[in-house]
Amino acid sequence: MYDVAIIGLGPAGATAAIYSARYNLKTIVVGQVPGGTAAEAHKICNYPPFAEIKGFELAQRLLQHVQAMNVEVVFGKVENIEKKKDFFELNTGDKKIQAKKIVIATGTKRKQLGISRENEFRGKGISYCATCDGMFYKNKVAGVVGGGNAALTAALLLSEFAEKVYIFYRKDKFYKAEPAWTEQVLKNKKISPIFDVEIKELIGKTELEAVKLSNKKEIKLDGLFVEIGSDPNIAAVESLGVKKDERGYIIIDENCKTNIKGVYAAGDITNHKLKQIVVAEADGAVAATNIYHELMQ
Amino acid sequence: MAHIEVNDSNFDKEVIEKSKDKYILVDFWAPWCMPCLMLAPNLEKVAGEFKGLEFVKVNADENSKLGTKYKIMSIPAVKLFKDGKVIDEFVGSFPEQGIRDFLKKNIK
Repeated sequence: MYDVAIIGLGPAGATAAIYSARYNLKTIVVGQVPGGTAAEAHKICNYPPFAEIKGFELAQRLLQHVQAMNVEVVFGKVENIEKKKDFFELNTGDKKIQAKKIVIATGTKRKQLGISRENEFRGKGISYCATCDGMFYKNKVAGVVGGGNAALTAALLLSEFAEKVYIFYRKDKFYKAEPAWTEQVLKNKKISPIFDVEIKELIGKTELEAVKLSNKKEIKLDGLFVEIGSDPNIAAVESLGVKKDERGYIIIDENCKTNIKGVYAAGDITNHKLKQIVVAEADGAVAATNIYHELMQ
Repeated sequence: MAHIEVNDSNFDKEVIEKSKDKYILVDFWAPWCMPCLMLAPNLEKVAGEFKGLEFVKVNADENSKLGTKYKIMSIPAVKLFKDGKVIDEFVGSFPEQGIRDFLKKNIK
């Protein structure tokens, strides 16, 4: 029986694991991608004291930090969680883990465009990871769908390889992105934003060759990067009955407690408005500390 | 299961030639691709469960000829070779069971 089981290996889960280990709690963390969505970030420039760090590097450091502590790390997916009398049982498919308290730090998953042929062209022009695939667009034409920070940083990264980068955004200007990214995008000669449009059709024989926009125009390109935001990654914890807000994010109090005793949540999966690494890490620390106090009582 | 790193110059010998006698599972990856790093140990483990299958890796960043030839546009890209040809493939990180199902479906 573990004192704490943490689900998720992003900044929130990793920090919860580190704090929990330092409180000498018997800790296990189950996660699929070290660093979570932050691992795919091209550059992170708002995580002090790093003036600039690559998401991949941050993810590696997070994992190294967790592994240096007395924490068991399982790379895998939690299928579901069952509440027993005074503990919880996590099912990973090939393993059952029992713990007195749990921290849900499963973060978010990327939204898909939800249009025809999207899955058919995946890996054949449609991509959801600019840091992974940007290098395949040397001297090619790439498009990015979206207008938030993720879309703009993806476009900036792609401009280092591609000969031209389109940004397709449904609003009339970049409202959501940080002004620092917007400025860089607007003065980058390789990047052409097209506002007030949506992607209506993906065109190509076996690979993506063009997109048809809601203004009826057809744009030829070699690849399209989908950066239109995310949804909470809630499937594994659905059966617990945690209270969620209208968008599906878990409601927590100032101690990171959910409505279910013994169940805490931290990071992007929570109803915090600001989805940032610093916020997620703070949540992880708060959750672990409150679990420690609860167990000591 | 141990794996070997294959590159532009020895791909024909290590993959095309050898796939005449057995199945070769090729993982196109790059060092900064986190989904690639997560997938590789799962591939290696599950590949070890199958007889007549060899697992090799190609660094897609250093071997652009192969990247172009096999139209790699997203990684991780995993391709299963038999008789010199790609018989099935997938893109993105897969859990162990997903890889097992993929191999079971294809290996006769």
